[in-house]
Parts: sequence; structure tokens; C-alpha cells
Amino acid sequence: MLETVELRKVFKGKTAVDGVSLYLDRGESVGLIGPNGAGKSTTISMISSLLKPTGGDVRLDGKSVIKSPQHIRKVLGVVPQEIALYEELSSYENLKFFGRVYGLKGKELDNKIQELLEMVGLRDRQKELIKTYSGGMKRRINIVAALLHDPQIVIMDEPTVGIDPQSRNHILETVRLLNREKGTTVMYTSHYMEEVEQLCSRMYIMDHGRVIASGTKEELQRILSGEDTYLIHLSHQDADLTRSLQSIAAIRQVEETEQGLKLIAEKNSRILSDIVQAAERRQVQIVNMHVQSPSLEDVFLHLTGRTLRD
Amino acid sequence: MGIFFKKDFLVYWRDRKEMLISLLMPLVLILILGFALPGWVENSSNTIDVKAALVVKDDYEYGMERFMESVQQLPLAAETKAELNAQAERMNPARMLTELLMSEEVKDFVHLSSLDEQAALTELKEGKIEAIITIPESFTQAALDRLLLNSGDSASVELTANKDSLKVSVLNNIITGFLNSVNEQASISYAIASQGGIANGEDTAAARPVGGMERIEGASMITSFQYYTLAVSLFFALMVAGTTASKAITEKREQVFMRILLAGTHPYRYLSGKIASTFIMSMLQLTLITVVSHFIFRLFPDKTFEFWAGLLLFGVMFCLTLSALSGLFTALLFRMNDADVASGISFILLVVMGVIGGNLVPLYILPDWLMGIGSAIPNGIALTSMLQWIQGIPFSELRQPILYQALFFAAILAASLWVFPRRERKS
Repeated sequence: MLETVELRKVFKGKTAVDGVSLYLDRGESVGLIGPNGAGKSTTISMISSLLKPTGGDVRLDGKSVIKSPQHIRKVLGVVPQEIALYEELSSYENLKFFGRVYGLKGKELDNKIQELLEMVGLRDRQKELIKTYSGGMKRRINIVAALLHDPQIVIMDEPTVGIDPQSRNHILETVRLLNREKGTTVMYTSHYMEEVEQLCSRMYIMDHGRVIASGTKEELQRILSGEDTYLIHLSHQDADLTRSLQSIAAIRQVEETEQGLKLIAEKNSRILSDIVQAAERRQVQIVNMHVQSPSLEDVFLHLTGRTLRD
Repeated sequence: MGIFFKKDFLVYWRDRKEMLISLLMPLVLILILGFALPGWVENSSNTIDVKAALVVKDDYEYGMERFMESVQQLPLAAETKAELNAQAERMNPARMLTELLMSEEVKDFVHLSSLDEQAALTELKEGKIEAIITIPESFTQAALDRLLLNSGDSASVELTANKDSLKVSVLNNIITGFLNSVNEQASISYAIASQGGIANGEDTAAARPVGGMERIEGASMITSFQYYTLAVSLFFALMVAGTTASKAITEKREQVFMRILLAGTHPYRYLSGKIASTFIMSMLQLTLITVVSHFIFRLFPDKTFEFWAGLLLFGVMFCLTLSALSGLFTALLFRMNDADVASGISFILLVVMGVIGGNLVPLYILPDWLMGIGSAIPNGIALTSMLQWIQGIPFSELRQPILYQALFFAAILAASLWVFPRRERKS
């Protein structure tokens, strides 16, 4: 339905997006993840026709939309990272304004507003000014404003940043409803891997302007299929212990966590005794240890060398 | 465009802080400036220092002889002719004008020196004086013929200056006042005479105090409250252009503009909404402040509907220009990368316009070159036209400023359309 072909964007000699090719099939929910500065927002801006690519193409149903952005704008709803609403207007007034801008009016617009407000659980508070809303409520209205014209494709750029759990659940439920029950195609970017895992059937991992991996959750996890993850709960942190574990050949990565350490090591490598001995030498007590298969977060760390929220 | 206007209006209206500043602040300023600085406006002549030369080419004796000859040829009774000659002898129009220019009130701000024509022209050329007042050769005869016989052309005095300045304008007003008095008096005298008698010399221009401070337009005819009401309300209306632009940049920064573009709206539609809302909001603000001030300070008592309609017209023309200005500011802000810097620059520009346009300090206290710029910018033009309208300058003489405002509107609008990003996306 929607695809980008070798999409490039260069700002004053600096390449922000470098040959990104991705696709979204009709009714699919696709995640786009990457650390800050990976080029996600630039890619989204080019797909949504707000930014002209330096190279490459954006195609909707096989036709290029670079020269005729109106085609994609009709079928696209974009939820920006910022709260793109008027603080001094109520949510109803905001939605009425954006609905009118989309060419909707009268009863049709009013019904649509009520339906969407009901969907995000804010119908009772529609007369209140946006500036009186909590961050989460604002984000919910931010989504609704992109859905007024019944878009076939919705692009959401980190719609759950900095909000309370209740609003977050509301938003995730809304995305699920849109995708699974209404058949809307969704592209979702987030800093929360678990959200992408929950909502998206496929995902693209971006770093330094490039897509460095893509596929379903299982396909991506297979990247680290030759590894195990060790979560070790320690009595206290010790820098020398970290260093000595890094020197063990089978251990590929050591990361300090809140409670201790996280190790990525070769699958079935017999390193438990090495770990215990190293801890004893440093007089650090191992409180608990858990061995698991790698998560998507581990895959991300493996690919980018950074955690998603870095 | 209606939806954009409604949205902008609501956004503006609900910004209580902005609303209070734009509606209450002007009234407070008018009150403070009106009471604290009346001297700047009402005794403005004290700060005006005009240097002028008086060149008298008129020969009183010769003029009198010619007048008596004219009287002699009229088909009047000998007694009437004698009375006319006696009246003429009691008058000396050239001396009356000289006395007026040398009077204590005028001497405070007009420094007059008697020179011959050549010397006067040399001093004018060298910039030692600002104007030359020339009483022409046949002045006495023309004035007496006009005054006592109601015949011939009106008496005229020449005023020569290198440039048109407020000082020259003040001088011109004094002379025009004097001549109007002479010429009007002629009509009255003639009317009385034609109804059966000769006007008594005591009632004519010779005996009446002519000229003087009350005749100097632009000085004591404007009260400080009138001046500051117009000046301050025009300034705050001007600030609406800046407010509109700063709100527009917030829309851009917070991606609202992006959302509007994504809906397939042409950027010009958005810009035209800004221009329309600025026009209506500045017009409302200007009207509200003027009307409220009128009732609080009793600004324009007993003024006609025509007066108010004229004032409204000048306001409309000004608000049109500044609505285009808001479009230009918005366009420039959209072009610039740093929105805060851009907002700061537009604010400073508006304050500078306010100062040199006479909105914060009276125009005449500024240096001539700055005053020249001030009277050529939209707010300066609007203020000057409104003040002249209050002073009773006929509408026909104020068409030019209206035309200037219309030209400003067209030029600034064209510039804003040219500057505003026309493409529907960034490259």
C-alpha cells in the first residue's frame, strides 16, 4: 500500500536519512524504532509529504506521491510528537477547527467528533480548554485530531511520550482498535519496545539514518539466537567485577542495571562458575540470577550499541 | 477563511494576559501621559524655534494712493468715499501682519529678522533661516480693495522654504490665519455695507485680534488626551500585528501549522486568515479604546457623525495596512530558523515604528530627519491624518494619506505573499 524506495534526506551536507526502504501493507501495523537522532521523524515527515526528499521515492499503491502530495494527504493521518493543538481552545473547538480544515462540516463532523471522543474516553470533558488537560489527555486529543477524516493510514510519532499509565493504556487500546477492528494501517514509533512488541506485527530498526534490521518480532530475535541473557542481582555494584566479567571470552556484552548486571553471552556457554568465582573474588554477593532468551531490547542494544531510550 | 478567523479570534480572546495588556494598558497609559505630559502636546509651540526673514516689498503710501483713486472712481456719495478713505488710513495690513509676527506670543517661537530679498535668499540657502515671509508689492492695495471694497483678488503673502517641515507649517498656519481673517472680514464688511451702511472700522480686521496662539493648528487645538488616545491606541493596534505573528510561530513550532497543511490547505489560506483576523482584532481594539477614552476623558464633545465616520475611515485604512504588516511578519518568522530571535526583532521594529511614528512621543520633538521618516510610515501617517481631521482640515486635503495607506497595504500584502513559503512543504 505504502512504500519508500531508497529515501534520502541531506540537511546542509549532513545525511539525516540514508537510503531507507520500507513498506506497509494494507491493514498492517508496523513499528519504526530507533534511538534519538536515528532519522525516524525525518522519515515520517518525508512519507507524510511535509518534507521533500533529497533522493528516493514515496509510493502509494505503486504511484509516486513526491510530486503530488495531495494524493497521500487525503488518506493519511499524522499524529506528531508535539501536542499540535490550540491550548486556548476546548477539545471540541480544536476538533471542529481541524475537521473544518479537512472539509468536514455540520452533523457529519459533529458525529465524528463525538464518536472519536467516546473512543478515547474524553467525551464528557470536550468543553474544557486543552490547557486544563493532563499530558495524557492532550495526547489522546492529539490522536483524535488526526483521525477526523477517517484516514486509511495513520502514522504515530511517539504518541505516548511522558504520560500517565492510564492515558498510555487508552492510547494503546485506541491504536489496537484502529488497526484490528477498523483495518487502519498503522506506522508506530516509540521509545518503549514493549509498546511496539504489543502493537506491531513487523518493525524496522533505524540508526544513523539507515534501516539496520527489519522483520517480525521472532525474525528479529533470531538475530541473537546464538546468545543468552543473564540478569544478575548483586548485593552492590563493583566496577572491577564488571571489568573482570568483560574479560571472559564467552561474554559478549556487560551492562550495568539498577540492581546489578546484565550479560549477553554465547548460548549454552558454561560460564556460571566463572561468574560466581569472579563475584566471590570481589566480595560481591550474588542475590539472584536469571537466564533468559534475548528480548527485542537486547536485539536493539546489540544492533545499535545503545538502549532505545538513550 | 472564516474558520481561521474564528480560531484566531478565540485564541486571542482567551489569552487573558494579552487581552488585559492590549485593552487596559492603553487606557492606563493615556491617563498617565495625558495628565503627566500635557505640556508636550498642548504647549508644543514652546519647543518650536522657527527662524524666518521678513521681506517687505509693499509700499504703503503707494498702495493707499491707488486705493483712494479706486474709491474716487466709484459711484458713491462723497461722504461714503471720505469714510472709506478714513478707514483705510486707520488700517495698514502689512504693519498688522508684521505686528502679529512680532507679538509676544509668536516671538516665543518665531524669530523674525527684516532683510532684503537677496540677503534673505542667501540665508535660506545657507540654512541660517527656515523660511522667508515676503509681503508683495501690491499687498496694501490688494488687502484694502478686498477688505473695504470687496473687489480684486485676495491679499496674499509669499512663504518660501527649502523643505516642508512642521516649523514651516506652523508659520504657514499663522499667516493663513491672518489672511483668512482679513479676507473673511472683507466679506462681512461688504455684506454690512450692502445692507445700507459702511462697516465700522472698530469691527474690522484692523481692530480684531487676529492670528495668535489660538490660530496655530497643531498646537493648542489638540488636547493631550486627544493626542495620547489616538497615539497610544494606534500603537497598541500596531502591536496586534506582532502578537499575530508570534502566535503564528507558536503554531509552526507546535506543529499545528503542519497539521493544517496536511489537511490539504493552501498556505495562503492560512496567511489570509491571519491577515483578516489581525484587521478585525486591531479594528475592534482601536475602536474600543477610542470610544471608551472618549467617554472617560470627554475627548470629542459635540462632534458630528461625519467627524466620527472620518475617524473610522482613517482607522480602517490603518488597520488594513497593519493587517498586511502582520502577514509580512508572519511570513518572515516562517522563513527564519530562530523563532525567538525573529519575534524579538519584530517587537523591536514595532516599538521603533511607534517612537518615530509619534505614538509614544509627539512627532515634533523628534529631529527633522526622523520626523520625516515618522510621517511617512503607516502609523505616522494615520496619526497625523487623524490629528488633522480633529483640527478640522477638510477631507479633500486628507485624501493623499488615505491613498498612501492603500498603497502601503497593497505593497506590504504583495511582499508578505512573496515571502511566505508558497510551497506546501519544506525542501
